[in-house]
Order: sequence, then structure tokens, then C-alpha cells
Amino acid sequence: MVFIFIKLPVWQMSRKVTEFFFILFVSCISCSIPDDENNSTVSGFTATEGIFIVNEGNFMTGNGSLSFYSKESVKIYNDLFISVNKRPLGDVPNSLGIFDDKIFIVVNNSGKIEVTESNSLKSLATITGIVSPRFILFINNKKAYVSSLYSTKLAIINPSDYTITGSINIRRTSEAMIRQEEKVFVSCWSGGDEIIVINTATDRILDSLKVAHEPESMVIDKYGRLWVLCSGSYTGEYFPELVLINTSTLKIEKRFQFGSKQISLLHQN
Amino acid sequence: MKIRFLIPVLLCSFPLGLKAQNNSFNDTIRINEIVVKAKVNENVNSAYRKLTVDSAALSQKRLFSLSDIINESVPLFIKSYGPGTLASVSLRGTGAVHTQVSWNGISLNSPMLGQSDLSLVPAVFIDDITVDFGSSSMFKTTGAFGGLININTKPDWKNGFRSSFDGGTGSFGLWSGSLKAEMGNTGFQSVTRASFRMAENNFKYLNNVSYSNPVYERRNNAGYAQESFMQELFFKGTNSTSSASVWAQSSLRNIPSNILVTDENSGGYQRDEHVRALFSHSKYKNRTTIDLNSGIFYEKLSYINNQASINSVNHSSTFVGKGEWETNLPGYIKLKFIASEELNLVNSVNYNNRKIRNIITTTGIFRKKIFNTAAITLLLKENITDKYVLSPDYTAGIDFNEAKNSRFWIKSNISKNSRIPTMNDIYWNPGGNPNIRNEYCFSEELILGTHPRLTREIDMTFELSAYSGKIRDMIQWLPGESGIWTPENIQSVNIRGIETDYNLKISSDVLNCSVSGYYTLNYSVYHSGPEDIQGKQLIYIPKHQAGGLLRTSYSVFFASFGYNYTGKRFITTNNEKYLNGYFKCNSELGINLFQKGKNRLLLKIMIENLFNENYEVMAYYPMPGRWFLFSLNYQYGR
Repeated sequence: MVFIFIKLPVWQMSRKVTEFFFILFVSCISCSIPDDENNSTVSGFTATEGIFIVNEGNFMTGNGSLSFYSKESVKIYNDLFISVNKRPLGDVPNSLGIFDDKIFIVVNNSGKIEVTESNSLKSLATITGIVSPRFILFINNKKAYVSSLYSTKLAIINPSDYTITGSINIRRTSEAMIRQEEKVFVSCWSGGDEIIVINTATDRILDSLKVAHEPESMVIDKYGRLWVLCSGSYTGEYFPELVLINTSTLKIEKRFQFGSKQISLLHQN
Repeated sequence: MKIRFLIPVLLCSFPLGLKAQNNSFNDTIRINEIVVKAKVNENVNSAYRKLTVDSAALSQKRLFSLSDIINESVPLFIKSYGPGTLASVSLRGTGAVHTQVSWNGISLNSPMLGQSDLSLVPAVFIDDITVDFGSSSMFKTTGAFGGLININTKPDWKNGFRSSFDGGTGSFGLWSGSLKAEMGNTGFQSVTRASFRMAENNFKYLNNVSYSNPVYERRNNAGYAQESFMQELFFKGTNSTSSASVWAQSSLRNIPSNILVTDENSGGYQRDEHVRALFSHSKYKNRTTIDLNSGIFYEKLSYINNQASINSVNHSSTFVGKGEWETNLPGYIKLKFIASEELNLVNSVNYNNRKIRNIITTTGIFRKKIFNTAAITLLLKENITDKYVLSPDYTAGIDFNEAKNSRFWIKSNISKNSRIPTMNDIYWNPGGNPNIRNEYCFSEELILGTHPRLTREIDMTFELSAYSGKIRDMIQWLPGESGIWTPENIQSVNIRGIETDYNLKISSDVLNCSVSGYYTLNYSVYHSGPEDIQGKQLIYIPKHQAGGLLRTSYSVFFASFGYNYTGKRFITTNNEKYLNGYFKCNSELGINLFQKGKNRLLLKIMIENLFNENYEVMAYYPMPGRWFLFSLNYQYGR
């Protein structure tokens, strides 16, 4: 508490009492100088060989964050984005993609993609105006697709100048995306049951295939076959299934139904 | 920045200088004075700290809610997500569940959440506010470790009809109106109050967290509308008074998301509907007083958030009966017994089925004067919830008062207080814990105060309080099995701090001026939990807070200036992240436009957040910058 003396030029009452109360009043003000210190930072952080971890945080609370596990130091660095850029990452960061020494962090409920340098994590740009983005898939240095939980269009962005260049109307919402040569397979997760195939040269739909309820994550194995994990439904109405698809014929080759209506989902993008 | 802090000082200096002027204005109006002072040796809780906020502070902002007006006069912290949104209150570094709000002696805290929402209390529905800090609350309620805010209505036993109407419009689509109409005589009074308030609340703010570069944006989904009505009847007999009051209210509020959420579909809305009825009867005979109070409260709260798939509808009813018997015995002994019963019925989609809880509380109070200038106070309280008898609460206090010329007092007390878990703690589905125990708090307090005798025109009061407390078995919700959050009695918190408040009034034929304010320093730290949080300040509990209010009138003009400083607040338990402190000033300028017979018309302009401070009370929920409210006040017969 810092006291500041102020003497009043004209006053009829006891001077000491006057000063006492003015000091008291002013003291309350003088205590009110706000702090402008910065939050603590992860000093000198540089990403080496390791793993980036996207932490969703709590829905609607904006406490999502980015961590990094360093294989070299066997340490985990937390809260990297806010530490480096002095602002929070956003609400429900869902995934990230690394392209051309840049990290593209897809922040779902903030409707944006944060672009940072891959080593320093220093912010380069924020791509906004995307409805509920979920995943990003890089096609080339001028084109990347972004899936959406609520929009029936895939957004097309330019990863070099960070602009939205177009969209592909797939008439369904989208989740995971995976590429095989000129084709991109898009899973229609929320309430859907299809895989959409897109031609990356024309940005048009090539085909679609009904799989099982809520196809979520996908991988392509060493034989070029597509494995699709369908989560069923959270209401328990449908069983989860694992579906094997021949990517040339787009025929379902195998189908495995899980006995339990609850399944842990592993993303492999 | 510094000039902001000088301006209040200059504003304070200005009217004080005017006092010395010799002039002969005949049309000076007198504003009602603000009294913020401690009562000494009057009640059974005289050894405890209390504040009284006079009605003048309320009349200044009759178009506002309690959350908007109390910060400049009372050292408390209000958690607000924006104008019109939920505004929970905490005193002395405790949580919102540790601070209670009562209406004419009956608690307004929700039996489900355990909190009160001050934004739902229109200022025109209050005639005075008293605040019982810490253990002082034990004389009226249970579990208010931080304190108790009493909002009271009281009749003015005058003959005839009187009324006051306020209408105003302001920034961000704000429209507001309030009415108070009184009628009666010395034995009967009818008081009718009504209030409405609505706002788009689409204020501009600087978003410096969502993008690479700061951007100005407008708040959306933040509008609200609130309508309230209260009717009271008061009867006064030879040795008794009786009253009946009904308070009905409806409020619809959009609940905006934090600014990190940019999805257009985010956010929800909340509808609150209340009907509250109170009946009271007081009888005085010789040295004995008997008070009987009963209340019936019904509340419906609906919260809809489509994006989060929430459709929560909650009905709660509370029936309260309370009897108080107080007598003065020879030997300067005062005895008081209080018995109360509270029955809560809750029907919620978040509970398995309808839940009922019954709480019986009995309190015995003994106060005896020792020597001429000192008195001791003892209180013993027993709470019974449903079938369980809880360990008794107690407090003991001593107060010393010297009042030859100037008044000077020293008070001290110790206590043990308990808080019964909320019904959400017990019954919430999923996660409610039926085995949850009550929290308890041991506390000590020392109070020094003075009321020096100065001149006839000048009156001042100063009080300093130092307090400490230990909250044990504190309830905290934690993620349990399958990620379901559940309450546990695991947290311990240590609290210590000081509070000062002062009041200075100058009254003369020419000038009226009052200056009041407070400063608090509070440390509320985790005593248990992981190592990295032990000894760290609780989240959203500022260490420093200050407030002040200056009111003055000169000729037909009147003005006020208020400020509130809230210090840095940590937003993570390890204290790594925090919100900067903010300094918010409000001012009012007015003129008495017309006064003839019983009629009077006042024009006012209020400027809120005068210096356009960019601040947040809760992280990522921006508050509005400078904004205005123009209002007219018509009074008849007052």
C-alpha cells in the first residue's frame, strides 16, 4: 500500500483529520495500478525430433493447448502456443498438419486454423471464416482441404498465402481425410454413413460409398486398401464396425462388427 | 494511465473546496446522504463486522441491478460474464457458495447451485442493503463463510400517495424503466414496485486473443430482457408490525460464448422465472421481541444450448419458516433464540427424480455487558439435515466501545461455521455424491474503528478489519471414473486479509458531499492438493480490491463519481495464467429540471466505464467500454 500526500489549500476543519482521510481515499487508488507483467514463457523452445500433442481442452471454455514431447530430452513441453504467442490457442483444437516447415493447427470450435513456424511455433497467420473445421489435408503447396463438422462443404485453402480459395460441396458433413494418388477419401462422420471420393485435380466428387454408421477414422495399408472405422452411434442404436475397402474397385471386401456398442476411436490421418 | 488515478482525486478535491465558498443560493437541493458505517453495540452481533449501504446509493441507480451498484460501496468480488448475465458474488476470498444473499431475512441462494445471481435483483426492489461479513452472518444464516448480503424492503409510514418513476435509454439498445408507488397512512402501507430492462448488448470490444492481430468485434448473442413486479402490504399496530410481500420475475437471457468460440451456433439462452412470497409478523412487549417469518419461493430455470446438446429444465420450491425470540434481562444480558426450518423440493432433468431436503436450524445467543464499555457474545448453533445431526457451530466475540467525545471501538471474535452441500453436490446425475460431507471453517477476526466528533457539518467513520480462516473438507468437483465429474471433500483453503472502509460526509445549506470507499487485501490460498498449487492464490479471487463513491450537489445540479479497482486474478490453479487488474469508473451528472408542489422532475446522464477501460472479469468474456444511459426521474409526493 503506497500512501500519497495531497495537501488541500482551503479547508476549515482539522488539517490532520482531513489529510488522514484523503490519504486513505487516495491510498485505495494508489493500490490500483494494474500489473502488466507477461505470463511466463517456455524460453528458447525449439522443436526437435518429437511429437506434437493437440489438447482439446474443455468444450466452450477455450483452454485447448499444444504440447510437445521431445525424444531428445524425454520431456513434455506444455502450453506452447500461448507461451510463445501470448494468446490462447482457442476452443477445441482438433488436429494439426505439418507442411513446408509450418504447422497448421485446426481449432474446431474457434472456426480457424492457426499457422505457426514449425520450430519456434511463432504465429504466422490465422485463417478464419471456416465453419467448424476438423482436419486438414495438404494436396500441394497451393492447395489443402479442410473438413467440417457442420458445413456440407470442404474448404479449400492455400497453405502458402493462408487464404481460402474455394470449396467442394459434398452435401454432407466431413471428418477424416486420406489421400491415395489422385483420390482423397473423406469420411462423413456426424450422423453419416458414407465415404466420399474426390478427384484432387478437378476438386470434384468422383464417387461415394455407403459403409456403416458414422465412419470416423481411416488408414491405408501397405496393400493400398482402405480401412474405415465406423463408431456406430453414441445413442447405441448402431454397432461400431471396421470396414475394408478396395480403393480401385470401391467395393467393400470385409466387414467386422464389434460386439460392444462403445468403442475407443483412434485417429490416424 | 496515471491521469486516470488522479482524476478521482481532483474530483474529490473540487467539491471540498466549494465548501468554503460563501454564497446565497436558495434553490439548493439536498441529496440523500450515503451512510456506510458500522453500527456499534446495538445488536446481538455487535462484536462482528457489518456495513450498511444507505438507500441513496441505490436511488442513484434505480435502473440497474444489484450487481451493478454494490461494487462501489462494498468490498466484494462479482463474477460476471457480461452485462445482464450471471453475476455471482463472493466476499472475503471465498467462493460464491460461501456468500449468501437474503431478502428480508430469507435466503435467496438457489438450493441447487447454492449461489445467488445479483443481476436478477432490480435496484428499485431494495430499500437498504446491509452486509454481514464472515462470522457475523452466523446470527442470521448458515454456511456463509464469506458473509451475508441482506437486501431489505421497508415501509415509509407517511400519509398519502407517493411515487417515483424512472425511464431511461442507453447504449447497446438498452431500455429500462422502474416504478415505485407507495400509499397509506401511519398504520398501513402498500408499496408496489415494477421494473423492466432490456438490451441488445451488442457492444464493440477489442479481440486481442483470437487472431494474429487484434481486431475489433461486436458481441453477439448477449441480449437480455427482464421484467419484475413486487407488491408489499405493511401493517403497524400498537406493539406489532406485519407484512406480506410477493415478488414475481421473468428473465430471458442469451448466454454468449467466450470470444475464442466463433461458431455462429455457439452460445445458448437461459430463462429464469421466480415467484417469491414472504409473510412476517413482529411483536414487541416490554423488553421482549418476537419475529415470525415464513417464505415460499418457486424458481424455474431453463438453459438451452443446442450446440452442446443441453436442454436443462429445473424446478425448485423452497418453504421456510423462521421464529426469533429476543429479550433483555437485568444485568445487561440479552438472550436470543432462533429456530428455522427450510424444505427444498427440486424437480430437475439433471436429477434421477424429485428430491426433497429438510434443514432444521436452532440457534442460541447470549450477550452480556461487562464493565461499562465492553460486552461479550456467545452463539451456539445446531443444524439438522434430514436425519443427520451435524456437529454444532459456535462463535464467541468481545467488543469494547469508548464514546466520550469521539467514538472508538475494538471488536474480536472466533468461530466455527459449517456449510451444508448443495443439492447438486448430492443429487446431480451423473456425478452427484450422496456421501458428501459438509464443509467447515474456523475463523478469527479483529476490528478497529473510529467515529471522531468533528464539526456539526462533518461526519466521518473509519473501520479496519483483519481476518483469517481455514476452510476444511472443502467441496471440489473432480473428474472421476469414466471422466464423470463428481464432488469430493478434498480441498483445504487458508484465507487471511484486511479490509478498510471509510466514510466522510459534509452537509451545509449550500453543499452536500459524501465520500466513501474501501480497500481489501486478501490472500486465499490452497492448503492441499498437488504440490504445484499449494500456497497459490485461488482462481478468480483478487488479492487487491478498492472502491469508492463521491456524491455531491450544488444548487440544482448533482453529480457522483464512483470507481472500482479489481486486481490481478489467476485463472489457473498453479497461478501461471492470470487476468490483469482493471480500474473502472462511473459517473453521473444530473439536474433538477422542475420542482413544484409535490412534483419533481430530474434529468440524469450516466457514463459507465468513463475511461473506456478494456477489461474482462472472466477470461475471454469482454466487458463493454464507455457507455451511456440517459434517464428521467419523476417523483410525486416524495
